[in-house]
Amino acid sequence: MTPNPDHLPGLDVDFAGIRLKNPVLAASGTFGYGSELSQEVDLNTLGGVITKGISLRPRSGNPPPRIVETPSGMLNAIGLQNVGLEAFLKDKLPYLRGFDTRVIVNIFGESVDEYRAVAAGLSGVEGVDALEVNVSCPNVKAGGIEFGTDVNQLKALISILKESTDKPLIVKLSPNVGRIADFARAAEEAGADGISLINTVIGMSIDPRTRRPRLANGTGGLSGPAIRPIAVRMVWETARAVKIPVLGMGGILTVEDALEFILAGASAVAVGTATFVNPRAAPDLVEGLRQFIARENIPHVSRLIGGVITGNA
Amino acid sequence: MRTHRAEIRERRDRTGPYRSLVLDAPALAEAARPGQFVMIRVSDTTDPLLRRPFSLFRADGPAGTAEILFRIMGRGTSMLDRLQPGEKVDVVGPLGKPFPSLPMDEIVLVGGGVGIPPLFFYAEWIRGREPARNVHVLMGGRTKGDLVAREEFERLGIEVQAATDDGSAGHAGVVTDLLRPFLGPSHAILACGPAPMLKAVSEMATKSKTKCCVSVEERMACGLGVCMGCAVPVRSEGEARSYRLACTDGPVFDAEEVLW
Repeated sequence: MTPNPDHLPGLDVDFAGIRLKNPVLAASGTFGYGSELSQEVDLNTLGGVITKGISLRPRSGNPPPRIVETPSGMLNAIGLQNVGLEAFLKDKLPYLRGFDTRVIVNIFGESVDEYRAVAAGLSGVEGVDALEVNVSCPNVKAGGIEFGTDVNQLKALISILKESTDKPLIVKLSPNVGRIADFARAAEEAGADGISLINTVIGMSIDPRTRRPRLANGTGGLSGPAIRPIAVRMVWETARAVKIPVLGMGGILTVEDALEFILAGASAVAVGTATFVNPRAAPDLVEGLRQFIARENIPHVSRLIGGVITGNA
Repeated sequence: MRTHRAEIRERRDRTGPYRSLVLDAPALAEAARPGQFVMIRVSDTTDPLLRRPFSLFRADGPAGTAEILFRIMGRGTSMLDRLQPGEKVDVVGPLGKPFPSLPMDEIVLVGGGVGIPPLFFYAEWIRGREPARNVHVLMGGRTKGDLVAREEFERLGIEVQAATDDGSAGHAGVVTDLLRPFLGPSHAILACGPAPMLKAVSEMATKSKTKCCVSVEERMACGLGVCMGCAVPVRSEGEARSYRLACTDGPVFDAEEVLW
């Protein structure tokens, strides 16, 4: 490339076979189907949007209370409430197609057959850039976590999905395992194009007065800044274990937080719970990253990926 | 635009643990309708992390101010209570669907405690626009201190009938004890308060074929329809269960729709 003094430092990155205009995505389950925050966010400014998890049929989700605040975080047990594949294609996707941003559809199923049906139903669909395979929802018995916590089942599932769709597959891993790198490698060997992590960490909160769990579901998934160090560590371990790119997430609020993930090895990052607190969290992060690399004279954000310095100098 | 950096114009101590804050937020004040709410960030740190939902008590478009009335309940509301005039807070709103416009001649507002704000907003709104309507207020609470904004209703020329659990003011008993004379097809009930009260009001309204709208409270993280935390069980055909979201489908629902 010819150096251009007016050229703003680059933010575009390659991720799992698709080009992102910047490395900031909206995380699944925190951005609805994209239209809900249209008053706050210009979707054209984002690297991509990852939709709420889609199953073959609509799901009504768990009974309330579904959320509870915890120190620097929150527990949720939404239960994968979603409109189902058919309504997504008919009512939700057309809106997302209207923007110059990448659309990644998060998918899940109760069985291999359901996963396959959803992946096949999105195969060849215009306006869908990639699929994020949820094998890590902690709140629904058959919500995929059985695949995300058993290396062999994960491998089998991803191999089948790889043959069911022409879209790049990003596998969203559960942090609720002993050795995350084993799962990342299994996904890679089965043909995954990218890894995203972390999903929420299983947690629980009890009200001492009623002696009952604060969530109707009993347990839930912890998200927010409370889980960030766990997420950064797992991104670091994963990025060193696989060649496919890593999408890092877990409690990102600020530019500094996002940089931690990128330095740990993430090629892109997703903003989740922060959107609940600040609906403009994702676009604000894009602008923050732009300013950071300009200020620090970093020619391109990709120079920072995996740049953490460890060991003795 | 639903995001505002609002300066606190005034802070008011009200009865018991109730407080209110007048916010300088012209766009919010202009757009807000009775029944809608705002999400307020009570701190700039990550603990507490989430915004808190508050029903609007009043919105004055020409003055550019909006007022919330709240009860000091826990950490979030205690932090909000410590803010002083001149300080700024981060506000998102107005959010949710307002009370619908109703054709009935007799409007009956039933609530108590933190259920009062949307009802007062409605009363002030309808008084200013349709003064011919008869507005009745039935206010309940555990004790006298829960009868918030009573004088403000009376200043609008609206009579307030009160009920307290401990008998410290008005009828000794629950607010639904006062509801019977206000049932029937010429009446419309708007209710906001604790779930057991809403359930009792809804049942009386349904039996007597009285139109009734309830404003529900549910825990929520975003207020914008994306976290899907604030599920309200509703009646549905066929399906085993069905939920709507308090933040974007509500907080106002037709009483017949909600499964208590």
